[in-house]
Amino acid sequence: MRARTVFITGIAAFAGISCRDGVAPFANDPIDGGGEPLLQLTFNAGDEGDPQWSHGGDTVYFHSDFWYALPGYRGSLQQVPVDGGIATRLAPAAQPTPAPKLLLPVPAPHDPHMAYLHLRRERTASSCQTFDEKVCPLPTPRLDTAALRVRGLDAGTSVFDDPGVTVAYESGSTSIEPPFMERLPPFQLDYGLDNQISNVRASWAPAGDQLVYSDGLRLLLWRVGEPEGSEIPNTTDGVAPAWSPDGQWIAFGVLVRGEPFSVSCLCPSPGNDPFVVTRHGWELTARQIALVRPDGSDMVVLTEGSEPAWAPDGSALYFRRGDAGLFRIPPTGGAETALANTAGARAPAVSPDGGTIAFARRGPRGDFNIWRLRLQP
Amino acid sequence: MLPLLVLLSCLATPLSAQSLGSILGRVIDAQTDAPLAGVSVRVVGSTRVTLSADDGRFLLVGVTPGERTLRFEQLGYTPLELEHVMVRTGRPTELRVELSVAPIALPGVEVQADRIRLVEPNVSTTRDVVVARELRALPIDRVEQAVELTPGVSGGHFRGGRVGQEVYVIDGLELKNPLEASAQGLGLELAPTSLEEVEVVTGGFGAQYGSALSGVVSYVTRRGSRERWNGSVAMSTDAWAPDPAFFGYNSLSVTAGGPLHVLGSNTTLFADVLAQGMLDADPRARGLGCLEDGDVEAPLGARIAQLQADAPGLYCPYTSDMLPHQRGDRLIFFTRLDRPLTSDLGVTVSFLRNRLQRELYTTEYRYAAHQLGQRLTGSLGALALDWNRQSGTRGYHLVARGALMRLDRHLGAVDPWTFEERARLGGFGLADFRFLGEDFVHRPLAEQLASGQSVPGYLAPGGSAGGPFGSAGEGLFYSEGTPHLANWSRTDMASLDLIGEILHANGSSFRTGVTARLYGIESYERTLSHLAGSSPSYARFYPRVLSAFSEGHIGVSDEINFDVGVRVDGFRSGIDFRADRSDFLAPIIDSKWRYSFNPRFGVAMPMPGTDNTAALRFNFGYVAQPPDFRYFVDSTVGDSLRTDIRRQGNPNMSFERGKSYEVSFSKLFAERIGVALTLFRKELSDIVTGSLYIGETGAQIYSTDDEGTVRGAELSVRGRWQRVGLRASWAWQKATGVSSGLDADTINDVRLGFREYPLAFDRRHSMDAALTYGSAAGDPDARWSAALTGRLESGYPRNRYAAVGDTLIRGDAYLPWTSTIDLRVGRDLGRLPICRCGWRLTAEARNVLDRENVLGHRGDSGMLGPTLASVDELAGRLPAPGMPIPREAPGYTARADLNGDGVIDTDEFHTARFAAALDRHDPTLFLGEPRQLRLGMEITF
Repeated sequence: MRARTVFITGIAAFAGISCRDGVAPFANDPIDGGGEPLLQLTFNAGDEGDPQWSHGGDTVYFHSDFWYALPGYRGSLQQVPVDGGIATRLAPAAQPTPAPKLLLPVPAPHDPHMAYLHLRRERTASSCQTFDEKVCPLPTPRLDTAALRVRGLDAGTSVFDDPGVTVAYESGSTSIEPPFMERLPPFQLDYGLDNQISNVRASWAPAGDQLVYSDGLRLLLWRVGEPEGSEIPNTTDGVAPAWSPDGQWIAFGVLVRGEPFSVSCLCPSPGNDPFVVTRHGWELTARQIALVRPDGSDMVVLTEGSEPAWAPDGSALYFRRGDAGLFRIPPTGGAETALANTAGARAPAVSPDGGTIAFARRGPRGDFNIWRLRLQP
Repeated sequence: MLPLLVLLSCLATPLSAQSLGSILGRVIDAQTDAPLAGVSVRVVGSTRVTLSADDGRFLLVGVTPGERTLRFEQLGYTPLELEHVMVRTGRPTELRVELSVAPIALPGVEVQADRIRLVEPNVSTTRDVVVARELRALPIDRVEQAVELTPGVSGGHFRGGRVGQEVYVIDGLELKNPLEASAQGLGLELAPTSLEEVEVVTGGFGAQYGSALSGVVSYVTRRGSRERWNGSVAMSTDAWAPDPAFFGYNSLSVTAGGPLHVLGSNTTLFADVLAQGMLDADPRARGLGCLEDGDVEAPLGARIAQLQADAPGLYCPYTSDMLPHQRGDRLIFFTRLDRPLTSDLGVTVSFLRNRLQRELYTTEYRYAAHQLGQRLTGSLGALALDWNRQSGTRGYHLVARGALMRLDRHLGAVDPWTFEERARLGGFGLADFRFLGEDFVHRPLAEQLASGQSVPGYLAPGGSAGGPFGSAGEGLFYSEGTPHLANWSRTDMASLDLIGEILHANGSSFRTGVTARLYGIESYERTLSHLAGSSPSYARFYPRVLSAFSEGHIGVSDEINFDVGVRVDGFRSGIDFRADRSDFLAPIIDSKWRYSFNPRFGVAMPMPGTDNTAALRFNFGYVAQPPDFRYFVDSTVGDSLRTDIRRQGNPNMSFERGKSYEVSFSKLFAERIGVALTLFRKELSDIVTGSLYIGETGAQIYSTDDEGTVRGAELSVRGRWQRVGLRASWAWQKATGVSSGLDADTINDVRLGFREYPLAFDRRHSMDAALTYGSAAGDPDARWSAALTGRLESGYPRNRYAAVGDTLIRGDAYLPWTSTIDLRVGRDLGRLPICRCGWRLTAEARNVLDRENVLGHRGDSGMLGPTLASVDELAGRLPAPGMPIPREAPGYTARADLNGDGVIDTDEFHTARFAAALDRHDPTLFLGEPRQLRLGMEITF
């Protein structure tokens, strides 16, 4: 009896342990920050900005002005998993080599499309000096002409085949003969001094049939497919619009101008004598968050801040207040709540489930990166 | 393919190929030395019986080979049973038997063990035998490991010869892998449990054997019992062992044999299946080894220490004890059927099927999903008619054998299906490995070329994402794509042997025979298979080999035995080539027949006055073998089997030739211990030799050289007691060659002209010992069985130039000594209550002392590790990227981000790059087997 038990046990043991698994091919350390409430998603040496969420909330879209793997690209669209990982090009067919400069990806609310800004003309920044050899306080107005376009995420066609509306940004004289005169409204100053492009971002209407966007001086509506956009009244110096989830409101930023002033600077011209340029700018007295109906009615200033973003249920607006970080406020007004750990954050975007907020923030090396923060329930 | 398989299947149905043995000798009165006539001599357990003649001589033919017991009976004398009499094929076993007068009536039977066969005064060759009992008791997986116990055989090299300078004989059928014996060996193997005995001849082999310069290995397979069915089921595994000793080894062996009366009386069937699954088919001492302090020179050691301190995650990142990408399995099936047709004539049909498949670990694909793999399949079907007739003191023996053999080898990128979907149990899969594009590369060449395609499934190797070094591993390790090699070969053989023999009870014999071998060879190779423009290299040719021999064994005055023989070999490569290979317009001619005439001579005699306990022998002979047919074509292969071979094609090569001399003295002490001392000299000419050189480029470089000499001495000891058996040997040899410089690189190497260098396998010292106990030593009553084997060997030359003092190579001229001790213990546990069978448990340990055993050194440093300059040079081939690598980049790895700031900056990249270059030099393939522990269970019935 004992021998039989030993034998049967032995057979069973042999059968069982012979299935012991072997060595697996090498697996590297996982790069996963899923458990971290605050997580830096990109570390690229260039500037990344203006994050947006995919429909499922598992991916963050953003643009980069200089991507490590695309040295010839000055503006590319990227996506990265929400808990970190390898970033890949968004709509790669739209980004051939040489690539057009693409910015500000905004996914459509229902279907796999996105809007983006195709920056068609941009002036080259020049290092001008005042006549007493100080740095010119007003930079070159760089934004010139862009096209707000829409394309399917998996489209294989050229960017130039995408439906779009042309956006001309105020920048002053384009004369090739002196005297040269340039105008720098606040949105040009933001872009020239801080690479701040969020001011001219677009936002989808909840129905997904039209977009609201800014030319830096006002808000406009563009019904996709039409040749031109139409101005929304009462939105002077309105920038960075965000359409509410219920479609009733558009939140936007207002760059409140103060007194105008002018500066004449001496700018280098390679191979030629330096030339004189007179730049006209305005003092920026305030940045405000305002609400307006899509038809331009009921415009109301909500609070101090910029770059508003709606909570997906429309119950709150998130916005930036300078370098102090991100804040939350009910759209009807009321108490503001500061979000911890968001100092220096800009361009907030709330995930579809409302539980996470993505934003851009300058890192210790001086460049902007994408972050995400789990919101406390 | 199909017709051959059908034919092989038909052959497999009925029979086996094996010659029978014979026993002759003389019976004398122990007191008076007078010859005894009329003594009954019977093989116990068989019907073979004869009577001694007036001069006391007797002859028994048609005896089944193996360890037999003979019974001698004569009225008035005490009956004698002589145990452990070795009966072999090809040469009669000669005995001298003394019977004692019975003092009273009805005496008991005297039982004696046959004398240690080391002392055989009538045998002029050097041979060693491992019998079935030992094969099953020794700690071995493969028969080749038992062959290694033979004096002068080491690492598959026989007396300093290259692998492939030996020939294999299965049941009298001489076999060789004609295409690539020097790389793949025979290409067919038998399970230890399927064998009755293995005989290894290393010197003075008779004229019957050709195609060998250095040795003959003769296998005698088992046949089924005529009385009853018996067999065994054995399992062995290391799955229970802790990680350092776990290599995923599982083995199942099933053996059965017995009468098959449905095909006629005395018809027997034997079958044996061995299935082994291995997660690491070629374990190495350090697994995926790391370079350590003693492995490298001081400057590199300091850098390694710095790396360990600064970036521990980058030093030796793969820490498993098991090599990855070395999975494989082995299947060996053998069956034979023996059927007597008449009282004198028997027919044997046998069928052997092999499948050995495994991944071949290559360093650059260590962190990749794809690996190189190889599948070897072989089939051998043989039919033998064996006619024996005994007429008084004469015996006649005629054998006719026909055989068909097919060897297939495929080497290429393994299809992921093989491990993702193929059903496996314990690492063993019933289905064959699949390879990417396997069907495509077997299509007609014109069709492949016309398609303009790359090999389907093959992708350009590259990438670095996923590895421990990220982008810093670029070009050193591949994480994408596949190995680029696709290579296959097929060897078909049809052979016919006719051998006739006349024996006389006085020990004289005459044997003659002819052999014809017809081959069909296909060899295909495509490198850069992922490129559409890469062209395959393909050859198909039909070599032929013919040979004839005659040999005689003459005994003079019962004392001196002469062996005289002559052998004529001829071969033709059967490959067409241009008369002037440098001229594309030269006429195409066929290769010529090449011939070799090989006389052989041997003499053996007992030392006078020693009562046959001391013997002297001498032999001399010419030997020759056709070169590997692969030398007719060009190709290169690189993998962990170290078959990184650069071939220099020459379709009109001639025989490799040799002359051998040998003298030996043997002495028996106290009937228990036999000692033999053998001195030999072997002169080789027209040899195709190899230089073992393991470096970054080209592991072995083969070329045609002029001549070489191997000389040496072997000391053997055999002992046998009731419960203990001992075999031990020490072999010293020196193998040198002379090169004309034709093999040298004439551009970079100015060392032209004739110079002497050690042959690649010039192992100076090798010592083997095997100690058996209990049933392993032949004690039928013992319940314990134990076998301990040990091996101590000096190293091979590091390379030919190092050994002659060239300053290009640093370090010692020879690799260090190696040693291993293996142990196998078994315990019979009696009869199982659930069946009428017995069972036993076994435990086995390999390399008990866990010696590292360095088998190779790097050419640049003379050590396991490279020089610092080599590592820096390799690391410097890739400059740092222009901007930091961010965490979201595929080439990012946290291991290289030493300060954890989310980017790999230039300094971190250089550190990681150095670590990657160091890791690329892992010494895994320079080390021997590690310690392995197995447990097993065996059921016998």
